[in-house]
Amino acid sequence: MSGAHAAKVDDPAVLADLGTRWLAAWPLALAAWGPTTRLHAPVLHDRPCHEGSFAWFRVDEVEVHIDLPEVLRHGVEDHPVAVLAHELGHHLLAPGDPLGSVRIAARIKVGLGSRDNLVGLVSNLWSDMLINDRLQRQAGVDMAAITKALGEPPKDSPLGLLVMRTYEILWALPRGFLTGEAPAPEGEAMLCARHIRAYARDPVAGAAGFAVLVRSLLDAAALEQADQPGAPTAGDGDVLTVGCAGDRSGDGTLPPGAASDTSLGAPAVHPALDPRVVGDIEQRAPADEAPDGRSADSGGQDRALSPAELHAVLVAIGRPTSLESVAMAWYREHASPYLVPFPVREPPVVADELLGGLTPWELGDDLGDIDWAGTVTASPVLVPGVTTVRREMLEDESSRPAPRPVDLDLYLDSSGSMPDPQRTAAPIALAGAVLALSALRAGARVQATTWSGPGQLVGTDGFTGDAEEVLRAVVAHIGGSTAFPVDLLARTHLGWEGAAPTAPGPTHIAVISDEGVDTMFRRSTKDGSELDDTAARSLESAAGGSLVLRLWPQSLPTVQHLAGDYDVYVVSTDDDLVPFARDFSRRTWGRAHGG
Amino acid sequence: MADDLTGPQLAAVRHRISNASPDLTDPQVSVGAVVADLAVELDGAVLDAASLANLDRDLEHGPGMSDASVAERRALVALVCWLVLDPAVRSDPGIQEAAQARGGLSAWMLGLVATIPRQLSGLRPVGRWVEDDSAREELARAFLGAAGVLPAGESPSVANDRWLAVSTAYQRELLTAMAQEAARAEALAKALAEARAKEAAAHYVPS
Repeated sequence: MSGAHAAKVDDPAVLADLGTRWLAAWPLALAAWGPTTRLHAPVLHDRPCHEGSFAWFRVDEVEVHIDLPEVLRHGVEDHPVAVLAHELGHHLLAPGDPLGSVRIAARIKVGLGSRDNLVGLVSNLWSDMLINDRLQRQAGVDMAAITKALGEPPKDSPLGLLVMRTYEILWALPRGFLTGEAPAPEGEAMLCARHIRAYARDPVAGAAGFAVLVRSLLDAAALEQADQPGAPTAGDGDVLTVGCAGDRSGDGTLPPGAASDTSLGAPAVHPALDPRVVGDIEQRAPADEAPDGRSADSGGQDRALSPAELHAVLVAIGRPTSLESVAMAWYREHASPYLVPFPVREPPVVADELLGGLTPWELGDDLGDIDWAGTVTASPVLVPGVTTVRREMLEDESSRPAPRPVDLDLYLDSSGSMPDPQRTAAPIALAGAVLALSALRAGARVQATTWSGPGQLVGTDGFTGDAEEVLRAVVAHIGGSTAFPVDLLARTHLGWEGAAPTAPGPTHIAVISDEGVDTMFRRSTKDGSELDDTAARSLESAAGGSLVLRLWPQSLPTVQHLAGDYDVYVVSTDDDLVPFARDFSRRTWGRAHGG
Repeated sequence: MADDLTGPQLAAVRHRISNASPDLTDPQVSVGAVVADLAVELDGAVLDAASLANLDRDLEHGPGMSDASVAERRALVALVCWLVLDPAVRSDPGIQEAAQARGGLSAWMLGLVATIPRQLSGLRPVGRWVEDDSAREELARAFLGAAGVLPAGESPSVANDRWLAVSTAYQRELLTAMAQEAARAEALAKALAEARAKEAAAHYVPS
């Protein structure tokens, strides 16, 4: 930075003048995205924020931020409309919202393969290119000028050269206008330009193809360095000069919709093999078929990302989060379509009304509401709206008891034979989430216990209405031996050592397990094991019991024999969950109403 | 474009293409007659027998040539005639000079109707050359290039860059090469992954 620039950066008067000019440009930036665009004014910082650029957008807060000293430092003070309109593009085009941000990053991650440390950088580049092209071509904003002002990419940055050469092709600029003298990857840039036009309005769908395209060009060492904390900032001529700082939201929660999006796990297709990009360039082949017979759509290979994969995406874009919290959000979202209406016993409604006091009857009220006895008693002279009164009628709320839903006592097998629900999509855990969230939806309280070997328990330790606490138990994984917590079951439903049962009322017992459920009905002894009737007696005290099991078919008769009056459901895939939820609703609801 | 002559604006040529009548691509139109009439219109020249024979050979069924291909070539010749007929094109100084260098407007026009179909035939369906924006640009640039002039306001390198950006033939060649490269890279990655898996399995010692 020159001395003159340094002086300007520290001069409050210069910064104030700059802020005024940039605020005046805000309406023009809004207008670039259409006459109906509305957003509050940008936040202008007069002190360096060290965000890695002079401008960024917070998707969570829907707010544009400008670092004025950095604006001066980069020499872009005369491009307020371009910068502000670009940041608005992060709100209106890509990524748009927190869900869009995660979806783009997830697809970029698929395209980049193992280079997780570049997901944030490439995601932001992809969004930037879509926004810039839209503004340059359709809104008449001179993005070429500000891109030029930011300087040429380094000669040894294939990604920077690709981006700049792509802009030259997209905007019909002379070769070298943005790339300088360095040779750019011509073929890739041509393809990239086509790719951007093909996916101009669909940032998520095009993200993986873009990542595949640039993957071959990445100089991993240089870019990994660029993505590390303390890496050179945008003004230092590295590859980051091609973009703004992008979305700098810090919330690590998984946005609703990301977990169940089945397009996120589809394999990435190289743009050269993508019919949507290749289009009429193809040799008059069928439009939906790529040269090697593949199609850009996933051909039925769509799948939702697992909790662990989504966690990796959030980590890759710098969101502070934990695998547990992602897994909780994942199971909450996947369970929601299957939630069953939990049984509620509704007593007859008492509809008696009680007489209340007298209140003024005013003009405009129903004439029939006038209490004539009260009106005449109050004044012999009738003046409507002044002396007229009406009788208030009150409901006797104490006679309307709240519906009493059946509580849920949920036991989740987390022995070594069960899949870790935080790593993979575990249908058994999903079934547990369906049950627990159904109960909570109905207003019931839930005791969720994840169990493995003797004494290995994680859970809510009592009945609760807190969904977070319950889901935390659902996604927990112990991975030890198998020993059902019969003592806890007895303490809950039969009482223990003279104490009353801890279940507060009618309770449904649900056990999620596999063949290990037999430890619920057998007690270990010195000579092996013997039958134990604690589970059967607990069921007699409860409002019902369900065993949701992942079983080999040949084990089912044995388990059904042991289970006695417990309802047994076999769940092995997500497809089994719908019939399970339907069956559970019908049987349990029917029992509640049938007495 | 040896002398880098500058011709009309690209936008003007594109606009002329977009105004082309659908009759031009009608298979019933006698394209040979259109060309002959155009030659008379340009400089009063009556095409000689050899030129007409060449033209007929280009526009008729050859060995292995489909009906669609013939129709495409005829339509492209008709569109070229439509462009040449444009007074703004004919009177452009750059065009005039290029035509002079090739022996007059008629000879220049005959060169065009021979070159353009060879260059563009088989790349797009007939109707697209008029309807599609990128196709219009491709035809306009091909026309100006074959005419021996640069689009007004463009340097040779810019014109060449823009031509490559819209040229279906070039893009097709490029995409084929890149698709092959992508397929090779994918196969290599798959082979490496399998090799790693085998290596890991070989090192596995059961506990």
